[in-house]
Amino acid sequence: MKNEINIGLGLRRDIIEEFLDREVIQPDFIEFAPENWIGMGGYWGKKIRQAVEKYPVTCHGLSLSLGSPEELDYRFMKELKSFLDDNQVEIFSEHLSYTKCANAHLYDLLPIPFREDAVKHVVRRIREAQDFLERPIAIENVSYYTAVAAEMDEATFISSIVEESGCQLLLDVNNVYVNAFNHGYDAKEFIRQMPLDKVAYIHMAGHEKVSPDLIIDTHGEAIIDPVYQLFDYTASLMELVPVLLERDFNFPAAADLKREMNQLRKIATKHWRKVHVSQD
Amino acid sequence: MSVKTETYQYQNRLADYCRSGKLNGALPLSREEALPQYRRLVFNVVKNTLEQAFPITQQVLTNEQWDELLFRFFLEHDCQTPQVWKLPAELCSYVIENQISEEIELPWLDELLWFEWLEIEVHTMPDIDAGPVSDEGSLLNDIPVLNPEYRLEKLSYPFHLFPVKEAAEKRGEYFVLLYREPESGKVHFMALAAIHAYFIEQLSAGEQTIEELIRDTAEKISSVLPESLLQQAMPFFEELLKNRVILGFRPNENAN
Repeated sequence: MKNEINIGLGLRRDIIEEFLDREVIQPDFIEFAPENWIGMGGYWGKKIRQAVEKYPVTCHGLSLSLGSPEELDYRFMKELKSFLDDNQVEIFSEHLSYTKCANAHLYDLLPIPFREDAVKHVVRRIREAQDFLERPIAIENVSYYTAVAAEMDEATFISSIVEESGCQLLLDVNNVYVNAFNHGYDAKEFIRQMPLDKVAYIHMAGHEKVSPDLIIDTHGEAIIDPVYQLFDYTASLMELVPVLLERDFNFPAAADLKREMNQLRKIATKHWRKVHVSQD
Repeated sequence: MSVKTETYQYQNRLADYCRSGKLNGALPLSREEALPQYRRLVFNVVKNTLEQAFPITQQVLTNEQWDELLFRFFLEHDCQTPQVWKLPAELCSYVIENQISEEIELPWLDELLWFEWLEIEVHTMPDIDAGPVSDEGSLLNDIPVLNPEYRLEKLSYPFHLFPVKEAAEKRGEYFVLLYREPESGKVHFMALAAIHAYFIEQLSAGEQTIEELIRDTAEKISSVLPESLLQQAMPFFEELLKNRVILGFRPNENAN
């Protein structure tokens, strides 16, 4: 996926036939959560093997729980490493959040307190995980609906972790928009504060406004214009990276997903065309 | 633990709140009104996963019973699997270990949950290599190769034969084979007599021809002649071959 404009799409079971058999959607690359496929045989095992043979792959983890206060789960990481190696995964990313606490998985993304000791803790865990997995990790800025016991702002928290751990950043532009709305900050200013030279790839998605002052990051709607505009702004500040459209449920017709991907390609081409052309 | 105790407590309190709906101690938040969203989001993942896995159980329990079961499970049980689609297996174990069936006076609940999970387990289990298989061979005199992607279960309630309420009144001893069709990945159920379950167990070792199996079995039973047992059992083995429970044959070096 080097030096070309790559627009990817999240692989989900509900639309897997569109990717594979019908070829209605042909993204430049695909992304899926390894947790949903590790150890899976039978019908779905065949499908994921077909998908991996057909498309370049990035994986977006759910359960590594980099922000947990307890130790990393090495048994799980062993399975994860094997899966990433077997499927020639080009980029592995995880959420900058915690999904496990007091020895219990919660299966959703809880916000890590934006505090100095948490920065040090997460940096140590990212390094440990990168060493064990023998590959860099890109950490994703997550949506959060309340900050917990914060001692610094979100941008400082993320930047410090990326800088100190040497990891990459998965910049979720929709999450920046959602957080800026929910917490009343300037999304463009936030983007400028991010270490944009460390971005491995970008996530784009839709969201749902559940009340006049609260947006939930659902991945169940189309991308709205202000998020496209924020992506346009972001792309203008940085070098070429892959861009992925996430859609987790409430799937529209394939033509609508293609339209969203085309819109992303149009914006990416506007800013990154020079690189693309020079490689042809 | 390398975070300060205070940070750990905050993280723990948020996680506890998501599981219980109760906040135990101070938790400084920038938006207190948004806190219930976390419990809703977290619990919905668990609820959706379990409702997809146990549609029959959900249907036969009252809404109150089902919701109470899920709330208790998520509150009392520390979910261990990092793969949420495997969580239904933990609900099965939780219900058995905590004797929930006795408590709510539904003695068949353990088994119904287990029965529903088994279908998922067989559908998703890692592929198992059956080894070399030949399409050509004698059903009687060559060693049959059993499809390794199966589960053989002994049940007290015949959920594979009757609707739940009817099955719940037919407590007894039932055997069922769940197997995954290699080509399509579909899971099939096959009701078995006890002796058929015994045959499957023996064939899984991959060491005997059916002729040898029948002869050994007749010797053990002693009241049955091998010829008579063979005549009775052959349609069963033919069905196994037809249904891809027997995938084919390995050359039988002992055959004449």
